[in-house]
Amino acid sequence: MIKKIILSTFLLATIWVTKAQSLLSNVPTNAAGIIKYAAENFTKNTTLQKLDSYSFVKKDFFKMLRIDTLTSLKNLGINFEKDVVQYFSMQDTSLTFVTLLNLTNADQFFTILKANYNSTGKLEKKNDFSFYSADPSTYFGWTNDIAIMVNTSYQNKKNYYDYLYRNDTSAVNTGADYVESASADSIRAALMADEMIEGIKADNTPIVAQVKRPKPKNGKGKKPAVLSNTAKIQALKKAKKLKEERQRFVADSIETVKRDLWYQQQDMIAKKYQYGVAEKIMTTTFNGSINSIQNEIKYTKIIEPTAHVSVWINNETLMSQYNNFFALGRFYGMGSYYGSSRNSSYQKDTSANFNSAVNIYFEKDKMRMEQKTFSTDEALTKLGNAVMDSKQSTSLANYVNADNVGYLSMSVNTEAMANYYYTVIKKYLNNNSYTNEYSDAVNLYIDLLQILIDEKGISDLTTGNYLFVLHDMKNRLVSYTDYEFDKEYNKKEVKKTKNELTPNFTYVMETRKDAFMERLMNLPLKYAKKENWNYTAKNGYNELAFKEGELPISSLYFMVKDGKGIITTSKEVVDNTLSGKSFVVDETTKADILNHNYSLKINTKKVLEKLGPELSTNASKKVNDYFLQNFGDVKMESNIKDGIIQSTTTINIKGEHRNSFEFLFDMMDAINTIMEKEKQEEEKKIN
Amino acid sequence: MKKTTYLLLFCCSLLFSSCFEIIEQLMIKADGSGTFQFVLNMSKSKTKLNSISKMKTINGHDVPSKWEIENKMKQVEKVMTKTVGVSGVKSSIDFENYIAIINCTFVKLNQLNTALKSVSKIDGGNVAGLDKVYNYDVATKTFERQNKFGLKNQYKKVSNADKEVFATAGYTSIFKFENTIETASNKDATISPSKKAIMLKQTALDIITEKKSIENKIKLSN
Repeated sequence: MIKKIILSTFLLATIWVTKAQSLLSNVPTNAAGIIKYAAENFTKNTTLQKLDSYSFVKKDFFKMLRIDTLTSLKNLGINFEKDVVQYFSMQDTSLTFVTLLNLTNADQFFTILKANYNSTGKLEKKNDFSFYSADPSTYFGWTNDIAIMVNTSYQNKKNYYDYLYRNDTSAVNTGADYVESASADSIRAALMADEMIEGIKADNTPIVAQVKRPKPKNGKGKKPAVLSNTAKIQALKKAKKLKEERQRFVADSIETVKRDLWYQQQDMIAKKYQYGVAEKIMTTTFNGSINSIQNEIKYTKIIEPTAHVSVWINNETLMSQYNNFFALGRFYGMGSYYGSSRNSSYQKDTSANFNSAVNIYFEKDKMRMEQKTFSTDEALTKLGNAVMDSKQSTSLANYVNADNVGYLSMSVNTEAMANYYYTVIKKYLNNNSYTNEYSDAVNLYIDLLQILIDEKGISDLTTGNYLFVLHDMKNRLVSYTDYEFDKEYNKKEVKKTKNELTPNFTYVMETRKDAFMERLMNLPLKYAKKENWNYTAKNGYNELAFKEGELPISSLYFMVKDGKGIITTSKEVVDNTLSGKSFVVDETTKADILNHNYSLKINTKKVLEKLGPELSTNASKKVNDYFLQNFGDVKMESNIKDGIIQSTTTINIKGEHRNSFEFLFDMMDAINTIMEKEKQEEEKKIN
Repeated sequence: MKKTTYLLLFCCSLLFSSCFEIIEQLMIKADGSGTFQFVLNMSKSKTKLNSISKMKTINGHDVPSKWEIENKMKQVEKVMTKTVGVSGVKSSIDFENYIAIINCTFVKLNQLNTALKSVSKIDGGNVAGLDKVYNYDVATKTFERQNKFGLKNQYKKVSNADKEVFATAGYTSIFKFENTIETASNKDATISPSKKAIMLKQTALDIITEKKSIENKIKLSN
């Protein structure tokens, strides 16, 4: 199912042109996540003909759809010139992924469906639409204009052993409307089980070969030998043992049949539920009775109509559905312990929560992702904004060297974060299936923690300003053992050296508790000898030295100075800090770091250039070269804008691409070609 | 056990180093008895291995702990010692340089074959052809190194990440004799000036893909 979803997402991501006849009106307000592909925005970027021309689209995607390579994307019956919307939810105890798309030709669309699901598919005519059950988890519904694909998986299958040892008598969790027909299946399954069990009991074929007596010749057999008492006892024991084995065999067989039928029954129930979920979604979609998310502020506030692709997520719904999945899905055996009322009592806290969205733009020379996080709950918004009420320190920014490989700067208000966590933990535990029953006690306990914990103390220890810099990746000489042979091939152990890539990095955090941090840094000195660490105090810093070849780095330096805790591999950084010097950071980088709560930059060229020589296969070297020629720097910044937590990530591109959208396809095509060639060359070598 | 599993186990045993060398050394006396040494040298990848040894899995395979590796070595030693005609079995593993060595002496090469076969059975395996790896005919003074353990098809199925393990790996065999070597069938092998030793160096990839052979038939003088 996941493969289907990924591949369908992938295809849908390749499309769409013109005006957005809003399929969003068909997305329910309780959806946990929504993906929208804006056709009009895609039109400006690429054409269907261009996508048709990529060999991997035809080779892999068409193959998956069982379409011949001569067919064009135009002939799938799908209107690639209108928006496509996908959403997922967990209603009626089913994890469901829905794709909504516009059609140009319903007959063509059905032809493709038949080609894919000919052996399992079943077509039904409903009141307003055609309904096609492709397989127990995949359903399609369509009118002349719109098609819906529903991939759904029932999450409340029961465990046989749980059923075996339960106390109540209910066979099915009565959480949805589809239970009646499912119960009929249960009865049929039970009757089948009875018939099979009777069959096993009636089968008296011995399971162990008996000792054959010789057949009498000409009707006259030898007189059976008279058995001694010992022989009689042994024969009786053997007969008893055989009888016991047979009884065990029958019991085991009955148990196996019962268990198998139980699981068959669970599959049948799941199938009924899944069918019901799909039918319900399609009926409400086609008759327009969905309570849509389209105009809700939680969606409109953070989704940008100008984006090519928009992904919207309701964080808390996702979290609760994640919990639900594990409680009722993977470990479904636990389900019955909570009874059928569990779902209704599951979500106690219905207050508004955080929603996140990523708006993706495929621009000429870069791919830009705008992430926004927002809550309709004012108190929660205030808490979120308070966490971001922080500014990075200039003294930390000065640890970024001019020709660095990459850095990550982070500045958050740790005092606000500690307060924020109390709310988050309360919400989480109040919604958690295992603790929601004790929410009063949980809240009291967290309030007590809040009284006991000194948030100001935490913020003094770690102010929330952190910086990680990868200064460089250099080669260093490392020795290794090799064998050489003399003229008579006598083996001799020799030491040789080779170059190895070693990262040179620094991690700095700001603190107002220098004395405490120093004690912490010096604590291992006392135990170093006993624990066999080479951790020694130097003049103003400590050094943890590694044996050659033990790690890709030779030393880690620890120091606390002027309100900063530092861990670094760079002796230069240690010396600079001790002498009060710093790197000269360029103004743009400095502004990026100081004006944002989060700032990340990766010099892709440097990373790829350094990693290139480490790669051993031709294919990985060629892929690396391709990346080197086509990938630009990666940058991410995050802070509060218009009262919303916003992040912007940009991936720059180089090379001959019309825009970053085509770049994605060009890249996939290029990698696919490299791998294919490598495979062919390897096969040539082997054969 | 399938050959693919052997190949993967072998990958695991090498902890996914991108560079390793195998040295197989036999010293055979005129009566067919001798000594055997097997060396697995992963020293060139020791930094990588040190890092990997701190992980639980890599490329989807479990990373064995030092204790597990030592334990397996002891098992190999124990199994070989139990073989009639095989004695002086000694194994060692140097975790600083990642070099593993097994030494033993044997009365007849058949007994060494039996010991190798027994080692392959430790985890329930049964590799065909291991009972005929080495053969020495005292009468005709002919030594033979055979290789019936084909991995070509299994290698095709291995993932690209696992294939990298073999990209620069090497194999060296050294056979030494009391008598001088008259002829050797493997043209890649080189005979020492005294004609009492022969060496063959191949890449692991060439052996796996059967591009090169490690088989050799060596005729000794009387």
